[in-house]
Amino acid sequence: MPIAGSNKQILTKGLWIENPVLRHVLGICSTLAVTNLVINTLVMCAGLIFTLAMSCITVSAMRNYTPDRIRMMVQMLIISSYVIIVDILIKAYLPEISVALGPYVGLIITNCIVMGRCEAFARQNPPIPSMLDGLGTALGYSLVLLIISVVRETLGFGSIMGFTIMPDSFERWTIMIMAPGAFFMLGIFIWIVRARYPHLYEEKS
Amino acid sequence: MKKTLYSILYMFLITFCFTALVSGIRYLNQEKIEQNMAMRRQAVILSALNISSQKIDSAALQMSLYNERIKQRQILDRDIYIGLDNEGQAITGYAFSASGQGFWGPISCMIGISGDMTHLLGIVFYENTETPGLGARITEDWFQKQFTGLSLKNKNSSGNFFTLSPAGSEKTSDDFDAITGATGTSDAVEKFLNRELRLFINRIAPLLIKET
Repeated sequence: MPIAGSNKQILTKGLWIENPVLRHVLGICSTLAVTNLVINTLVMCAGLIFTLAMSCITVSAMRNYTPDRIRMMVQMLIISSYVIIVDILIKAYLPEISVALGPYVGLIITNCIVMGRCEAFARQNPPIPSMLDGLGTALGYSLVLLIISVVRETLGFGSIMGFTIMPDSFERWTIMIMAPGAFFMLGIFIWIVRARYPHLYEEKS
Repeated sequence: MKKTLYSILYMFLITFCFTALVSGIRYLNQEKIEQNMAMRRQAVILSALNISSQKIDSAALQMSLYNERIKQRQILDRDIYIGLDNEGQAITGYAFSASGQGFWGPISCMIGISGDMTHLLGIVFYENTETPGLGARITEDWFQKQFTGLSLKNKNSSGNFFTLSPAGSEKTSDDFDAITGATGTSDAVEKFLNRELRLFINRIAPLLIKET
């Protein structure tokens, strides 16, 4: 399948027009799980950006040698390896965040966005565009997660990155810290974006 | 047949390559990871024994303090950390790890008990998967510090050393604030901490006294 668009277009489409969370509502398990603190979200996003970009470039580089019938197993092996590498590096260099994130780093393996981009783009395109596609998609995912986490931490804890920004009299919104708060935020955010930019998200007939 | 063989060999080869890559990175960072885990455990023990409640930035300093002030014993298959005074002679406290089932998953803490085994020196919760902002608030200072000084001489009518009841309600000396909005976690903590304290006082303490 030919490459759709220039490198710049490939990189930027995942950010907004083909944003995996806003458009496809993919990868929302981690959107719900880690977005109550901005710092945890940042580390999770960095992990996903590395995993997705590296998985895409590797799947693409091996695409001409990988038999079709075992391609899913191969992709899973590649993705798992990069996720375990991310987990090892976080444990070694960011031990406190590793404790806070608990099992969620490992769960990047099951993030549908990663396998989705490997299967839909990387296995049919050359390595550089594939890496840019992975990078753009991961950045788009990170953009949404960071916006949600800023709102959730501000309302739930009265802080951003651990720094208190709300007055002492501010009553914390407990629901923002819990998973239902993430559901509400995600739904509201998708609704606002789709209402504001209908031309970007309307299905073409 | 040829295709099947190629698939098997291909899968075998890339599994080998990626496993080697991950193992190599793990091997290169193993020491650092183990050091981080040991540092964290040492900090928890020092804090539970009230030897150092503040975070020590220097690994060497913490290590030296730990080596000077902590001795380890194994009693009833459990690691007991014995805290010593500044001279490294007199026993100032005992610490041991305790775990129980929380609302979402296991909760682990380090319990520090005074040298004469009459009261608690401190409790540090170092592992949990409770809800951030709710059950996970067991790691906050205000919650942990409530237990400091709790007498182990008396038990209430239920055989417990302490109870947790809603914040703001009238309290006795062995009644502490539960976490608002996290009743499940508070109940679990009350249950397993009392169980572990009973175990220490009834079974571990006599053996420790005999040994020392």
